[in-house]
Amino acid sequence: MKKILGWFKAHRPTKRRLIQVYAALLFNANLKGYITGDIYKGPLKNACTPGLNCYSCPGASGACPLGALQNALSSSGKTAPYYVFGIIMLYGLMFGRWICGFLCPFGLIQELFHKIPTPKLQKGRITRILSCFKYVILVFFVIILPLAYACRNFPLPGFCKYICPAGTLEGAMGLLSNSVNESYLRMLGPLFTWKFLLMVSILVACVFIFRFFCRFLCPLGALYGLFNRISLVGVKLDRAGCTDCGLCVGTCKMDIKRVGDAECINCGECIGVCPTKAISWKGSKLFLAPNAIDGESEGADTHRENVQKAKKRHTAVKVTVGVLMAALLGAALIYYNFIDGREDEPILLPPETTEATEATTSADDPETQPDQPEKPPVGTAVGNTCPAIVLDLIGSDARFSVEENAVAGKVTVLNFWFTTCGPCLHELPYFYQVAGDYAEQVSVVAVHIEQRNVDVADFIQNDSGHPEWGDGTMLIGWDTSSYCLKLFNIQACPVTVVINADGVITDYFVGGLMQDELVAAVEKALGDE
Amino acid sequence: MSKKTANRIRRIYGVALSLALIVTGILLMISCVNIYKSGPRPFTPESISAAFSKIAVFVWVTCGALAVGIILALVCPAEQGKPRVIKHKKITLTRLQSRLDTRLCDADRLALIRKEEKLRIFLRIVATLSCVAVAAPAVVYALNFDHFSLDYDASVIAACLWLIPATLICMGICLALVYLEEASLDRQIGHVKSALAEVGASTPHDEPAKPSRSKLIWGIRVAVAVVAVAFVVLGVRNGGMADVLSKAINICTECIGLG
Repeated sequence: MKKILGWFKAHRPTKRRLIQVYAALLFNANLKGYITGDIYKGPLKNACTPGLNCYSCPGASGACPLGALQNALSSSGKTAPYYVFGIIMLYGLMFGRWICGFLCPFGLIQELFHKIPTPKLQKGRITRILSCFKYVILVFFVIILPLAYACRNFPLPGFCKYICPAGTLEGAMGLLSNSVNESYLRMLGPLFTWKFLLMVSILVACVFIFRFFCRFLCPLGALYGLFNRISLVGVKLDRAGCTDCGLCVGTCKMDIKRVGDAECINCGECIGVCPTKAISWKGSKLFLAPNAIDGESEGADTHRENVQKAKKRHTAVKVTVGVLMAALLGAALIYYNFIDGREDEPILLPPETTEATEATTSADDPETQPDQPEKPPVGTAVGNTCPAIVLDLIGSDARFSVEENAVAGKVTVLNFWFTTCGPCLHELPYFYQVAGDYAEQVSVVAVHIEQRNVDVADFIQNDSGHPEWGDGTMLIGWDTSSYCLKLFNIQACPVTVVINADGVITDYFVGGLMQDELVAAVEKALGDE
Repeated sequence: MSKKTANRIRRIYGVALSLALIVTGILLMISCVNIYKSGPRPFTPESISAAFSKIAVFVWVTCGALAVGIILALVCPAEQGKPRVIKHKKITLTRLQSRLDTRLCDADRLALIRKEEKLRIFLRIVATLSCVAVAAPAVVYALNFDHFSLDYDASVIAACLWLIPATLICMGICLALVYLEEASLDRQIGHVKSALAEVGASTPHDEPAKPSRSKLIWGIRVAVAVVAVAFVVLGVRNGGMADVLSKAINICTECIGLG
């Protein structure tokens, strides 16, 4: 028993670990998302969290700064990316790489994996050189790729798409692990396979190498590292007091050359080992623990007085910060899980509706229409009759009705997209092609789902690279009040719904389609008539 | 249990656990590739579970091994190793040199010291030029946006085929530079130590007081803060914040690697 207690005492979490867990919980405060399989879509998501935390994670309470940066660079032809630059600069100035050491949820995951008791790879000259690799990733995947494709009006967040293990672990796996998102399984292919392999490799590497991703691959750490010397929070070295004993660099598990350089995550472990107390926290006059007061140069009385003062100050700061942190976390948990009122909005029809509704009641009545075959119930699942949908059309005063289109004997293809969605823009030419090839039998509507003030007509004309999309062959709709978004419970884009001439949904796809898949779906709907 | 036995048990356990983890990782990857290559389409939770169930035994064994680790830590707790010491050779050299009075020093010894300094400068120039020569084609390729067609996967792979070898070669050059520099530093430290032994250490002469860097740092901080706040305000006004929201609330399936 003594041994067990001793083990727990020796392994109790440090303050840093507690802060890491706290930050991970705060940045993933939308806990109900893990149950519903949905992500938080409220207004607070326009704020970036400081660490690497995928905004497609069901629990994410804010946006990922790296994803936001790539997206901003992707649309930099239209909007200068001031906001994200400003936010990253502010975070960098305030915290620097202290964020990596204390606030980054993926950093916590890596450290927990490293806790597994296996032989560890020690740092050395090679790891020091390899740590420069993250700058290559920053420049190529985060800056050059989005900019190169911005010139082609095609959003491509290179790092998120090809590398980010946080996106795979928190976003993709987080969504896939919920049975509600079963439809996402359809789109798994080479990209997911690559990212899964990469994620597993990185996590296994983290067991043997301390913060493998953070040290060698993370472009966010590379960015924050640029601010490390001027950041307001972090460790500092008093050069006058340094005896160059090398204990700090030897103790540090990161590839630092000196305390506080661009590789330093400001974890503070070196503070305890410095024999001359030359390393301290920045702003330590406020946060200094009483036992860290140096009294050797002063008299005993003065020292005692200083310790007393520091003790009082330290307790006051600790209590205030503790209360504020607890209040913030409590407020976040309550807001994201109970107050955010999206559940109050009426869910029009659940996907698996089996009961007939008003629309089908009259059609089902054998007395009124005895010869009509029984219509499937109204719903949004494949095989259901599609509910009434009327869409505003962009560039026209007319409106498009799915019901009327079915009455006219035409198949309807609804494609839900938005302007900054890469896969959406990649597949839209196929829809345009199908709209032209099947003009007599099929109406294709590309429904823009964003509610912000985007000039879609202008985007198509000038920025899409396909001004022909606006020629009327393919209708461009707008889901004005997010009606379709809620109706079809659309969380990921692109989404394609194919409705046959009887008004019955014959296919529902989440994710990008290839031309042959789309043609097959249309042929199926035409054959179902 | 003796310390030696405990250490041996811990070492064997660590190696076994490492192997188990690596094997589990590889099996997970193989299963994923198998599902992708030969799994029944469209994928269903059942088909994926069935594919992964084949490696369930290994996963459970690894989990068991992890649990054993906790018991092992109770029975034979790990000892705290001695902290490593990694000295910054340049700082060591600067300290030693500050105690060396070059006027009293032997001319040959001084020449050797200067030679090492010159050698390091030469090495750095050579390494920089080599890195530039190696990286230039890759950089030129990456900065020519015409190479990035809408077949983006192929374009990215092509760019990586330029960038990765160039990066690895540059890293190799840097690594060689580090080794050569350290060897040179070691030699120079040796020369300085010998010179100190010959002429004796003088009291470190007071270097002229450097201008305080704290004012400069605070100046930079204020400038960065002003620019950052201005950027945020501009970003809110030009719709950048709305862009972030738009991207954050609409899942882009490709961006999270779903496909």
